[in-house]
Amino acid sequence: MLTLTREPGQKIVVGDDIVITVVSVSENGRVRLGIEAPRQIRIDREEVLERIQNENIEAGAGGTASRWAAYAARRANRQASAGATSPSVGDPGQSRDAAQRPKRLESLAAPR
Amino acid sequence: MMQLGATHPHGHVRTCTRRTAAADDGAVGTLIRPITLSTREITFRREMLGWVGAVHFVLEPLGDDQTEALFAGLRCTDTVRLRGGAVVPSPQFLVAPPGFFAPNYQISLDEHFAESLDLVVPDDAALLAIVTHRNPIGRSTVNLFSPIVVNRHSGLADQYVPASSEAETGWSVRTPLPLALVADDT
Repeated sequence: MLTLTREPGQKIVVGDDIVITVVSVSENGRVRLGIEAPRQIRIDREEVLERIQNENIEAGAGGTASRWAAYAARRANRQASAGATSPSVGDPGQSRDAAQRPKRLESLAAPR
Repeated sequence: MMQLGATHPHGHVRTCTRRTAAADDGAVGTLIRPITLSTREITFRREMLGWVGAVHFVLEPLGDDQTEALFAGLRCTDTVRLRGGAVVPSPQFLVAPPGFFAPNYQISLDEHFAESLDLVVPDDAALLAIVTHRNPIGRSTVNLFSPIVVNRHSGLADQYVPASSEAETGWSVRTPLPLALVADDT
């Protein structure tokens, strides 16, 4: 890794069209950088990208969709067998047709 | 900047935006309408973060009633690898409109991002928030910080990564699901 020493106000030029400016260095060690780059160059905080990457991996690797479908089926089964049509988030105040529920549960729970 | 999402008549408005007709008449149902796209095939502009080679996806409805119809499976049709090298055929993601979890949900896309997906007006875009299932189900969360943005006409998509932090936007990568949705599992 190339390591450079810079002072506030000094710049680093990367390639033809990227300029990084050291804006300020605070007493507690925080460095503010200004970055000028073409708009198609993505600039992200590393820890933010990593957090999203890790979340995407967990969401996709854990079989979330099929496990959720199974959960929704269990949930609907309970509601149907209880004869309850308690409203849930997303259908405020609207009762459900409990009689129809069991019919489609198998397809919901079927592995994909 | 392109503002996406809606204000809620009783909700906290995070940034300046116009009130929609739907918000004014209190028709919450239209704010959290099911995902409506002209195509089921979704193509990412670049591979999905964390999944090497994940570009082509198919959106598959999971249910047909009012709540579950909001949820869809987003299945990758590519054979992809995790960064460690492990091969995962067709990973599938659970997605739903972020407005379902937060009626006041709103996000501002930067101009270049909107252009890159050929989004001209806000209605060109559909938002998909990714749900992460955990055990017990009450620990499941939804990513409201960086939703997938889809051009609803062409199916071109990308996951939006805001330049500001979670604290600054007020939306978390791991937002707990509404209790009403998860409280009754055993």
